[in-house]
Amino acid sequence: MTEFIQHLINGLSVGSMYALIAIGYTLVFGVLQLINFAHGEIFMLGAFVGMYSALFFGFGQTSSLLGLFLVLTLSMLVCAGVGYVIERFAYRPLRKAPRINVLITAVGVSMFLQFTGQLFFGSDPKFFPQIYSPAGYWSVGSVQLNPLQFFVLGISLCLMMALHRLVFHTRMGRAMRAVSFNHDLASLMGIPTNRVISYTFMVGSALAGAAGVLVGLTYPKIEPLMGVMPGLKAFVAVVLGGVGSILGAVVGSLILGLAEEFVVGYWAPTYRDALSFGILILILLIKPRGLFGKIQIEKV
Amino acid sequence: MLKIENLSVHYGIVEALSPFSFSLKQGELVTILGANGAGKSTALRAISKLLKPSSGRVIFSSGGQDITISDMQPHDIVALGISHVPEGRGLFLNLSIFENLDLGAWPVRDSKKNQEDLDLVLKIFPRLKERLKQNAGTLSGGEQQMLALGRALMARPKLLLLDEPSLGLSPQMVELIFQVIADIHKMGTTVLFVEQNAYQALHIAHRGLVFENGKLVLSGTSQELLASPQVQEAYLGG
Repeated sequence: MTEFIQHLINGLSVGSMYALIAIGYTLVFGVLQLINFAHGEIFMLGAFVGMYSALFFGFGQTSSLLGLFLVLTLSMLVCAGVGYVIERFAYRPLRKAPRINVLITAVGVSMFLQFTGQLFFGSDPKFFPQIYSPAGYWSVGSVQLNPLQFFVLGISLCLMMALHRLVFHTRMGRAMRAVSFNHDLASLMGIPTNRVISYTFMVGSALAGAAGVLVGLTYPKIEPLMGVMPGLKAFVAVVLGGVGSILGAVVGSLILGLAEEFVVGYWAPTYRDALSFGILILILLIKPRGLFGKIQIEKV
Repeated sequence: MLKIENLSVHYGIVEALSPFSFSLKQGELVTILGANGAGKSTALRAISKLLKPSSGRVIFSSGGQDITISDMQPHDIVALGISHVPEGRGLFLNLSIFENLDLGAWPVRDSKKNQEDLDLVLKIFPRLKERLKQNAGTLSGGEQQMLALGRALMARPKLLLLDEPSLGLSPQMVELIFQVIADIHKMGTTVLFVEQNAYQALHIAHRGLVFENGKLVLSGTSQELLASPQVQEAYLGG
């Protein structure tokens, strides 16, 4: 039982990290029908911006909640900016190009960021400063719970709720959904589609940046290629949940996180990645639309 | 109010629309007639810049200013007061009826005006009122056309471009939609609408333009067109 609860919590916290990344994938896919393979690298950048800003401000000597929020905000802002620049200069010129060109460009941007990261940050792993580390463990019966995990889970939950609000209860969110339905129609409403697309990239990138900091906090070893695997996993989660669906991205991520943790915990620790990609193959064979894939109703 | 000069459109190397010119005066209700593939929708899409014209220009005059809208982006044209209801209504079927209407109000950044317009639209189309929270995809064809018109009104357009508003509707619904178009026109909006239903269209319109195979072949007042042997033969069954 103790073990089960521990795996459950681990699974949820891994899943919520995938979710923060997966939401960006699915948002961008919604407005551009593009799988932005550079998204995992934004996550990596988020971790490094977090590390450098913590070092710059001198956080990490003592546990500071305020410091964490500052670092988190800064990292989200920088990642939003990077997301804007990538969209503006790499993807926008290709707006009318065939989709495959944009996809290849995304792979190129991804590699560019990985190797630029190695150039500037060095390819050896760095230690992420422990900006906020609540002391001790919570004991519930025989179960030992790490409060940091709950804290990280709480922050990602708050971010997801904020995103939900933004997408479903603001005018900009409505415009994002309109653009994801059809660019031409959205522009006939007077919606500046390019601006909405930029905004979507910025929001998605900010969430990935936050994930970078939160992962750094829980697994404090960061390096320039750290975005590759979580990026792919989040992609699997998006496909599992149904590409383009935000709820699908979150549910898919949680399922993936839990499945990974339970397989690793109870069965074979080395099968973590094999499991994810096995799920990807299965879902593509059985239900390519994913769990929450959209079915459109059209009446004439 | 709208002046079109030698506008033409190509799809690749195929000429979809030969250069044509015409102008619209403020307060007019004008219809574009023609068979399928005659270039009617292409003409509207070139005005609202969904298509890039290969030659010519479109000038919109408003408040004493002449603006060359053929150089502008589609969303900026909407902001000037030209709303285009595309063929097939162009609703956001993933959004609710209220959300569709609210998106229509995008250029009007004033929540008080938005509320007034919403009240007006719901007065014109009471059927939408009970279904504001419903998904637009659940509406029948006629209700979708009502929503499309209502949504266009939310932008407070000076010029309304309608692409086959009667397409696929029952005779009673066609009647109702034409009535509403006439009412919208009476409220002071200039309307340019594409139709295949020549008799009914000419019945409410002041003037008509006839397109054939991508060319503007005929134009005149509704009376002239109704009396014209060419129109009678082609559209009114002789």
